[in-house]
Amino acid sequence: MVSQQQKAKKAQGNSENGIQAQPATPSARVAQIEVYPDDVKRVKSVEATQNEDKTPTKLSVPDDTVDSMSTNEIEVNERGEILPVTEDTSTSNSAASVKKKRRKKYRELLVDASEVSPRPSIWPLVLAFSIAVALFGLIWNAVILFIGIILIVGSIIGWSLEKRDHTYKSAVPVKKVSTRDTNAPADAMERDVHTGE
Amino acid sequence: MATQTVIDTSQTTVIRRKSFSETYIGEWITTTDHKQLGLMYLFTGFFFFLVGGMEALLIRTQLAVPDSKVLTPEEYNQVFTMHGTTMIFLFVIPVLAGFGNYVVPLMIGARDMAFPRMNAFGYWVLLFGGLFIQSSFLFNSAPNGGWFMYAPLSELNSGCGIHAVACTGPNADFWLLGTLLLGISSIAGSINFVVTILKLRAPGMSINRMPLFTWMMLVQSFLLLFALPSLTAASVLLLLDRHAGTHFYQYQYGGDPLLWQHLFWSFGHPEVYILILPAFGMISEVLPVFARKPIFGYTFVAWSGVAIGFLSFTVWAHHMFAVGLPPIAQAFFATSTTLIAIPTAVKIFNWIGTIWGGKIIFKTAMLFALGFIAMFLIGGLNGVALAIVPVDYQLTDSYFVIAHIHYVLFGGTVFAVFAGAFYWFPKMTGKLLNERLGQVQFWLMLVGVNLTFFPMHLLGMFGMPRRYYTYAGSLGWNELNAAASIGAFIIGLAIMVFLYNLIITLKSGDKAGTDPWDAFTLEWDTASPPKKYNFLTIPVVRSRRPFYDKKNPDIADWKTVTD
Repeated sequence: MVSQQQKAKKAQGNSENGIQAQPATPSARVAQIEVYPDDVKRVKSVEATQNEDKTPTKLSVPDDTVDSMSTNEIEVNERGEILPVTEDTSTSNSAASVKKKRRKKYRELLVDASEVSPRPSIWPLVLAFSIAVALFGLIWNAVILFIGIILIVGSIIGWSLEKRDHTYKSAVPVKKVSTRDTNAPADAMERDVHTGE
Repeated sequence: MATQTVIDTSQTTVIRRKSFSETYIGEWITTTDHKQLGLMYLFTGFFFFLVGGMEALLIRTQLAVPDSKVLTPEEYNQVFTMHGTTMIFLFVIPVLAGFGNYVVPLMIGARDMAFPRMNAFGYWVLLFGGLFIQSSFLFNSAPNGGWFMYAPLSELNSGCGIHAVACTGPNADFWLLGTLLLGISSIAGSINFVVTILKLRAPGMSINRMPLFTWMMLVQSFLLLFALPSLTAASVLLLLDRHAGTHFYQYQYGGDPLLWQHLFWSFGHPEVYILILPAFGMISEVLPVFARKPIFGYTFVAWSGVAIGFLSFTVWAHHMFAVGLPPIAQAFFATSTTLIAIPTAVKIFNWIGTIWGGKIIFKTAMLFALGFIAMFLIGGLNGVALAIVPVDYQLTDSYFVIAHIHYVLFGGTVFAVFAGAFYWFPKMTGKLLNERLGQVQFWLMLVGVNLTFFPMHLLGMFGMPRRYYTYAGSLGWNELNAAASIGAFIIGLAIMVFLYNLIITLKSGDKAGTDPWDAFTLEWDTASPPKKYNFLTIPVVRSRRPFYDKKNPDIADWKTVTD
């Protein structure tokens, strides 16, 4: 008898090869990735249900949000790697197992560009300049060296204490995926890094 | 999936006082955006390229005719030292870092580098490090010990005796502290690249699907991380010798005069691959697009880069055959040096396989890529010649070595840099560089490079040592030196053509659109230039050519090609 784990391993191997369609396996999550046309302002939340024993999970998009977007259904294995396209067997799987599923909500966030872009900062420049001044002082003059060291200390303190306010608020309450949540998509932590500053 | 969709607030009107970081100057000074930093790296790198180029022209002017006195001997020493230092540390590394900064996050579907502030810090340290070293000219104290600053001679200064341990003329100090600064910059950049590439790839972009330029930037970053500590340690020891009275490199006080050479070259030879691997990556991106084919043997191209990276740490002493290494060491380093030619040849065969049977489009970027293959092949082959110990005995520290390094770094890296510049310029600016001027520049450069550096092979074999201030007219080197100098000025002319092209393109160039080359990778799936957030929604990758897949859903690679 082929175990579920073996099936999962096979599916994962095929994802590396990336060539043929595979039926949904118990270890796979099925996600819908939405591709928006440029400049569409849209709030969208996706709800994920996930089984504790890692049966397939459907990330679905409410009907009222899918009108003008192209959808692209993909499979994601446990590590968040994309599997080849599948027949849509997940709907029935998802429906069948919904009772015993622990529900987990993920939100696709509507964010302003400033939230995913790093904040500007003057301190990298100041620190670099300070180091150059200190080394210049090392060659020419102890006073310059001393000034350089003071500047270095000051710029490190300034950098550390820099206020990193978020000027813009997210349009929807943000529920960040815990990076300690083993059921979270593998790239969840990476996405949070983008907004981490 | 915890993905995020960006809304564009460009339509929103906000009435308030601009903060400093929102002014034009302030935005550039305080930016942590990888694209702006990439452009700053590129601009800085090209600025220092011009500086290093002028130093090269001074050298060639001095050597154009025998018994020339355009420069004084001391000035000549300073100029050739600063030429090498500027080109290696202030041009090639920053320009490659610039391309990496700009392109890598776009290629892998990320919104920025992993550590944006550290990225900015790396750039500013580079800039101040460069200015620090170049400022030595203002004090008439430019480094004068050659770009590898051999100790124990570099412990001395003009006017100091051989035992003058405490002689502290600042020439070498500028070099040592300047490279220390540049090392900090490189470490900051490398950590950033490693983390970005390993952690911020788009969903589905397995390591086996990464673009080859990203691959090579990853390998280069690891090389920098492992190679630079050696230079840093060597520099600190030399500084201590010069200023604190220690004797790490002085034989008469129990030091080891070869220690510097070992430490320097265990950095210096990986450094050569640090300078060439991203160039390999650029070529691996340009060739498939203009041959209208996927890269031939992706896996081999990628992993041969890794192999080169590993082997580069085992070859350093081929720079030291002439110091009297024991035969076993000579045999080892000769073998390892020859061995490294294998993965390099794998790449060349794969590039040829890529263009073989392709529908080649001879745009300027492609011309430079093809020129790269030819020039690098010459540089590689004469490098293998130098790996043969008896040959090296004859040719070490001669102009043959100068020819070798310039075929590799100019015919190789600089050609690749221009291939990359013509290829990615439309993405960076939204405008196409003028093709006709580009082709004029290419042919001028091809002629110039060969006219400059090919005669140096012969000069080396005829016995002309490197770094000689001048030479007598009776040695038979006159014509070859004259040819090399003419070639250098032709290269200078080619660079002027490029600058002219740059200016007129920025002023009134043709609009490029988002994807002027019908390219394959994700950076072309963004606006030109890309918006601050790069991608509205993080893309999903299913093959090695994700943008090709998107444009050709019916024949997408993930449907038809096995990774």
